[in-house]
Amino acid sequence: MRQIHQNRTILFLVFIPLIFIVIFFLVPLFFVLIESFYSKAGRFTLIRYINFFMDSRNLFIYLRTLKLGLIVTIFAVILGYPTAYVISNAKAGRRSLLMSVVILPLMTSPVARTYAWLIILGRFGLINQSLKAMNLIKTPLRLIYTENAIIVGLLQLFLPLMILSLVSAMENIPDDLEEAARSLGAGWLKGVLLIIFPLSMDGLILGATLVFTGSITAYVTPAILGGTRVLTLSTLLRQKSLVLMDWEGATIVAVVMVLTTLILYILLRKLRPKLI
Amino acid sequence: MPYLELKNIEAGYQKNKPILKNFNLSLEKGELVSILGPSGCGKTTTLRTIAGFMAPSRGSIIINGIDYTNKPPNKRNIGLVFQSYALFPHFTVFNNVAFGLKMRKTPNDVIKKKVDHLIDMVGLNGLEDRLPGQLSGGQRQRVALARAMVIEPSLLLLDEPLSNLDARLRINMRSEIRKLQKKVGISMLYVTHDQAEALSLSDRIIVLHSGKIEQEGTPENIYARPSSPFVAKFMGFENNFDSEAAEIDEKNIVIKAGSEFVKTELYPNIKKGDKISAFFRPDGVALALKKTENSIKGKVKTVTFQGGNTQYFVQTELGEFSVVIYEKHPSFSEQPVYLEFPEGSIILKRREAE
Amino acid sequence: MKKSTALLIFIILVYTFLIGPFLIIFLASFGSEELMTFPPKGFSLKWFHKVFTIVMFRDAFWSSLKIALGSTASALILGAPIAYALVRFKFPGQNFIEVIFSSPAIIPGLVIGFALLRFFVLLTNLPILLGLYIGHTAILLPYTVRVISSSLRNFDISIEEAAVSLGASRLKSFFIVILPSIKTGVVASFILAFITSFNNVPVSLFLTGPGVATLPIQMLVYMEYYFDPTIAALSSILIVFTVFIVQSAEKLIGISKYV
Repeated sequence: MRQIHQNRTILFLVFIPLIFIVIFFLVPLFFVLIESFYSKAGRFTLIRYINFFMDSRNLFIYLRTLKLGLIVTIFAVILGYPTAYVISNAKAGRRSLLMSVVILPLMTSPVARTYAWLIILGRFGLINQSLKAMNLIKTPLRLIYTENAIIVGLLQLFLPLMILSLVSAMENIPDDLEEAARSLGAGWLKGVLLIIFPLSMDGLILGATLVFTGSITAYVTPAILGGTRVLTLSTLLRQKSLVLMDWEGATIVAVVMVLTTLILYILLRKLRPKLI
Repeated sequence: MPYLELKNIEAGYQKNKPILKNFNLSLEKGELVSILGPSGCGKTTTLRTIAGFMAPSRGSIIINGIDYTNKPPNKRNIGLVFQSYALFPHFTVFNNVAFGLKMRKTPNDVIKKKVDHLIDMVGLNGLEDRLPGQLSGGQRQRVALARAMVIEPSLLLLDEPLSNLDARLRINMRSEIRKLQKKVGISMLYVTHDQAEALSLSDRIIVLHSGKIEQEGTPENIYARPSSPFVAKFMGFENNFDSEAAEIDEKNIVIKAGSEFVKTELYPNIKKGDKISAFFRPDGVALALKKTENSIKGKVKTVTFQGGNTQYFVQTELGEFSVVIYEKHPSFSEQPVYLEFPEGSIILKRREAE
Repeated sequence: MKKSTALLIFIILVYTFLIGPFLIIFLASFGSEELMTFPPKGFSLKWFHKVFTIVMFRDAFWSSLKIALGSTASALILGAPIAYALVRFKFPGQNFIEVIFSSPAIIPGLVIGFALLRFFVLLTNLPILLGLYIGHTAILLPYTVRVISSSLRNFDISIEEAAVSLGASRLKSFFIVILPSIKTGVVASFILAFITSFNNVPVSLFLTGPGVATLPIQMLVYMEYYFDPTIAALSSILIVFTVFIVQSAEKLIGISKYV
């Protein structure tokens, strides 16, 4: 009797939101997925995927997207680790200030954030003007519409995610442990390497997952800083759909993006250590 | 010269508000000294200062004649047992214990021998490959002890090491720590807020109260003769009343107890007519139905049987007192009684002139 | 101390990288030249003035505001019961529900926008604003469900049971006992969801249409044609607002732990 009553409550709670998400999220995605695997005659086929990857331009863009994601992730770890260490050891007041500044890039309008890099990297931007003033160059360097520009832009956006995951992992490590290591004769660096690093591995992997998947699916940054010259999967998707109206091709790009993201999620989740 | 010496230490978390001020402490080689006090009294600050996690703003720390004041914690060779144990969750028992030796670049075969020896000593044989998460509280405690002792520290600091264990285990571990300390002959500084713990395992107890040493002495001495109201309360002298020294002869002091008089031992610094505070333990007195020699009149207000003993609240003209009698059944009900003071059950403290 | 100096310099560099660009955009928006240069030449407020005179920005701002408020409210109303069910009960399909409601945050936004566009084509004559509102609600749901569940997990269930035992119905006890104690979480998820919607590009990119665009999309469109400091001025305004919201939200509720 109680069970029935409870089931009714759950159904009542879940019903409307579930209908919403099924209709406006699952079904549309499912359509796209199905569409990509079936020929016009209604038969299952992988031909579109084969064609997609056989096209060297597509393959190049796909690999470039992964490469950019990897580079951004590596830099995020290198820059994020010491930063997170400092934040997690800071006193409450300073910590709160440091954190609120860290999340700023995540909260700011992506167009505004990326536009700033145009001003810095542009033809008449900060870097070119400074180099010119120092007489190091005569004609401006082409800094935007390059892979490096995309990397810099993505790093600014996703470094905060790495820092946040690392900080929350490091804060779960009791201060006692580092002190115990020191009292047993470990220097500062050894304490970090032997205690903090392995115990924050979970945060590192979570951060890497977010940064990597975020980087390979981001749109605004490659759109503004890469333009049509340096296409990534996401700018390719936009080009195929909204510009070229090649809906079939766009569908393939979309599914490739989703599957790549999901596979990365699953793989990296497997890497996460299980502490008892 | 003492083995460990803290001289005029000033330390604290905030610059202008030191917790320890002009603090002095000494410890002999092989001695087990407890620092006893309520939370916030400065015991942990003392420990962290000795361990090197807090830099004193003034004063010096000397161990065995060497100045340790500015040594980094990892160069001090001081063992530390944390209240939380602070075991490394990703290392096995063996690797936890071996950590300090590895930091000292000890050869592997020596590490193996020493760690095995310590694990054997604390009785953890067979658990070497377990992770801390797979151990019970008592076992973790032992790992923490072994880990701190394997480096053969010049001094072992223990910060409330038993406070996370249940009551029975706590009592067992107390005597085990004492035995271990005697066997190895290590100097220990033991921080606790539990007076029973301090009494049962120390050579000497230092009672700390808001950053100052309130009393220092052997457990017996401190238990029987607390020198201040604070220590008296802390040692279980829960009842007190204001009084006056009425009469002094060669053997006793007779003090006023409301409209009556009771006598107790002599105190050298108390003269006739002095205003005094008198303290006694709930279980230091007896109840009687008839007036006896050294007693005052009262009335039982509440009776609480606690299994093995009974607690009475007795209302007297001096106020309400708690009395604990060890008995199988409560022998008094809510009725008029006499509160009897056996010899030496009352301790006195002169009140400063107001 | 050598270690701390080295770390300090490192941290200053990282923070310069994170927020330096915002300062630069701020300076650039005061330049007086038609062509965006840095360092800016001259000083002028004309670009700020221009932001407010461009009608398409004004319209887009109102659309964005309407969509953000509407979809945030809907995501809270739809997400709260899910969070409550997930935290309070054990039921078959719980994992499935949890995965579904967190997946809009995992599936790339661009793909969600694309899929919705293809789906909405089937529903002919769906108003553009409604499409945007639906799309945004879908992508905000993971935020509201996650933040509210974590607040509910920290809430002592026995307090709710006490209320029920004193005669309050479940629904009533939710409003008078639970909601007040999780209001920080609700406020946090509101702020996060609102900002996410207001800034969203990937979903809006596909769902905007003739006459209706969100502010970020309109900014992208403008950038394709002009390279004057108008966008810098508008960006500065948005950044100042964001800084204000983030700083106060961090002070009041510690927003960073909910991100």
